Amino acid sequence: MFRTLDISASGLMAQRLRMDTIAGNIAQSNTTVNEEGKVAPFQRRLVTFQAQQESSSQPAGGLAVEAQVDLDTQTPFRKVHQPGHPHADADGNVTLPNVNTITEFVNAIEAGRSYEANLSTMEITKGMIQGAFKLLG
Amino acid sequence: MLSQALAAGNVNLLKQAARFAENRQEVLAGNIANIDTPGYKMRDLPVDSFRAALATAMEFERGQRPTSSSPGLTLSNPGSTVQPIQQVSDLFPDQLFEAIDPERQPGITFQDAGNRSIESQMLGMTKNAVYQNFALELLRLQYDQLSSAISEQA
Repeated sequence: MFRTLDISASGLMAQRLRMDTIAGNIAQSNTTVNEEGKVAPFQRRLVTFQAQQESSSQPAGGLAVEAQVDLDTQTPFRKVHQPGHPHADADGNVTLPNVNTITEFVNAIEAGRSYEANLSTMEITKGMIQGAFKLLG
Repeated sequence: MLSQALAAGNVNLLKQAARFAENRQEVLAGNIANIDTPGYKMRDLPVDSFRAALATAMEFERGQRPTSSSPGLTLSNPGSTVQPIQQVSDLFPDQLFEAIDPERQPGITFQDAGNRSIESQMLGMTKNAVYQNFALELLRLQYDQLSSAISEQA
């Protein structure tokens, strides 16, 4: 029963990490300088999920989730013509991060809902554990 | 069903039912945790097989005890209880408590063809919790009956 709580907690952590990443993406959606002070657009981050591998010692049960932050290298950077911008190239184009705020918001809603689902699961599990404890009288 | 389950000697069946519900909760929690994992297949315990095993065990228990109206007698006699318990637990092999990937029609809603539905998972979980609660409540009633029988004797 306590493993059930661990599994739900892994879901909570994964969705929270996703939410953190989304918040970071939105916050950096116009950043054109990297952390070393060089002119380079912020690269969008995204979270990948993977079901935890089943251990052969335990009987087949629920699977926890593992989340990992990766860089989005596929989506092209946005180019905006702003000749006066200090970070504009020779043609007057500024390269902005490959962050689409609409995509981020949609993902944020999904992450929030999934987080809630894991929380509800935990509540139900806690109710079951308490019910088992009642047997003690 | 209620009157049968209330008869003493079904304690083992109720225990199995509670155990099954708790294991199933773990699997359903894993499904919810992996709701956004690409390519993940929703798992479940073999609910139908368990129900069939439970029905068989109930039949077996009824056949085992000639008078179900005298629970005190069967409980006080160790010789008659030990043997059936051993056999009833044989009806619940460990495979019944292990997760399976149920065959499902591939969905077209998601790109990985996973047919995930958070609603059906939550519904299954709620029903499962009620089921566990039901089994535990009946179990508690039986223990209460037992303890009141003991205290009245003293």
